[in-house]
Amino acid sequence: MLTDRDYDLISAYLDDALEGDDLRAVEQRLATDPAFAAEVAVMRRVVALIHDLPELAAPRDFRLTREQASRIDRERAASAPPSPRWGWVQRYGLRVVSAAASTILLVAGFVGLMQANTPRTQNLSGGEVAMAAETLAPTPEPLMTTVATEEMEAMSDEGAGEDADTLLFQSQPAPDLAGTADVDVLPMAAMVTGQDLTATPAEDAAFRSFALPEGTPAPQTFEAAPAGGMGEMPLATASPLPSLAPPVAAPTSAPPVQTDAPDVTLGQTPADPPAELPWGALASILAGAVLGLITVLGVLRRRG
Amino acid sequence: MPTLSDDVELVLAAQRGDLDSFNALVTRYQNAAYSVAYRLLGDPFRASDAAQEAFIHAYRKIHDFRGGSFRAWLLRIVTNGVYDRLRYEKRRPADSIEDLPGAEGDDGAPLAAPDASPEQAAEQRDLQRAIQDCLSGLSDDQRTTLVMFDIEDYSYQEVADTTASQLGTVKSRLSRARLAMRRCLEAKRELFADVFRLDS
Repeated sequence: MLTDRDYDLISAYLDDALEGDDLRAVEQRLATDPAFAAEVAVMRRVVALIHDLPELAAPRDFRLTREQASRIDRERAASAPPSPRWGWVQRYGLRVVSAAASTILLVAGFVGLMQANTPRTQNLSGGEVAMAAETLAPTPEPLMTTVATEEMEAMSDEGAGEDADTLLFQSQPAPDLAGTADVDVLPMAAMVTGQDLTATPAEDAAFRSFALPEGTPAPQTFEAAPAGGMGEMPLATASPLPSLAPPVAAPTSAPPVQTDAPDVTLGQTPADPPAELPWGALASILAGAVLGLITVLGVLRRRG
Repeated sequence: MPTLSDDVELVLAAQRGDLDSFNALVTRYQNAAYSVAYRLLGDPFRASDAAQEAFIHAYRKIHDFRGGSFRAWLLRIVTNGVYDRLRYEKRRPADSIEDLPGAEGDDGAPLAAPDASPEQAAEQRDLQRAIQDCLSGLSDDQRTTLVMFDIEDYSYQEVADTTASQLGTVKSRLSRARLAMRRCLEAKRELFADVFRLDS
């Protein structure tokens, strides 16, 4: 009785696939075991019977018709690889366009977001500009306003005497600063002193030279300030003034104060307007991120 | 018997788009293609469909033919197509039991090629039917391995590559398939007296 292992050896022996100890064992057994040799002969004839099976007659003709061939030709042409010249367009065109669009959307979105988060120093009202000026460069402004206020008080006490006039007004040409101010401090001083304190351009220049001694750094200019320098900034718009010079009740005949500044009282800050979310920038970032994700997934899927 | 050079000329013409040349190759090898499909599938209708699909695939891929034996190239297309079909059908069992080999709807083995005498043809028909019955009794894996190796002359490695199997698995399947065929044919000893005669 032969085992499965014996039939494995016989099968391999018939295929000339045995070598070494297995081959020698089979050959020795063929010489000494007639039953084993008879089974090897039967298996050889079975294999030959299968191998020599005649061909069968095809039950029908398998030749292709013209219609079948034409259809296959069309399918083959449709699935043919793209020409080398424009192949990259078909292979990468959509991905390139998609990646570029994604990048543009993301950049535009982030730029919009940054602009929305930038401190709003532009288009500010007068009061906001003054607040910003005080925060950014506090030194020059108090120097000028304090000295000027003290001088005006002194002029009021001394009745604007000759000494004061000599001290204050030097014959040096200077621009007419009063003309550039939205609100002039002189009317208020006149109310206090009861005198006409309107100065000539030369007097203004002398005042400025006194107020800013030699060696004092030049007044800084501010981006949002009116044209000119710190010395030209309207005093009425400098919000720190109320803390230095208490407001004086203006007579009804006094010229009205023209200002865009919000009402500011001591110890209060102007209320910020409600923050608006930059929806456009956020939408652009979102669209760019989604498009970029789709592009990356498409590339990975194509490679996979 | 067509020569290799005859095939090459027809293949070159077919690659230039000559349908008649391709159909000359079909006529030359359609019996072989159908036979392999029938041995593998055991059903004339499915074998006929498989052979037709193989010729369509061969026409579509004719530009990929790089020389050698056109017959071997064509029969590999048939074998691969049938093997794919068997794997697909294994995942989706037959809708009707009548579609299975040996069932009532099976027409049995087809006729042998008409190049023999009537007596020889009748004897071959009986032998083929018996052999085909035994082949159909094998598992799909054993049958495809046996047909590829013993009928189509594949090597062990080629069978392993086609069926995505290990080399040892192929050898084991082949051994089991041959033993099963031996036992099945022995049961029809009256037809295969020469095979089972008591001599070595």
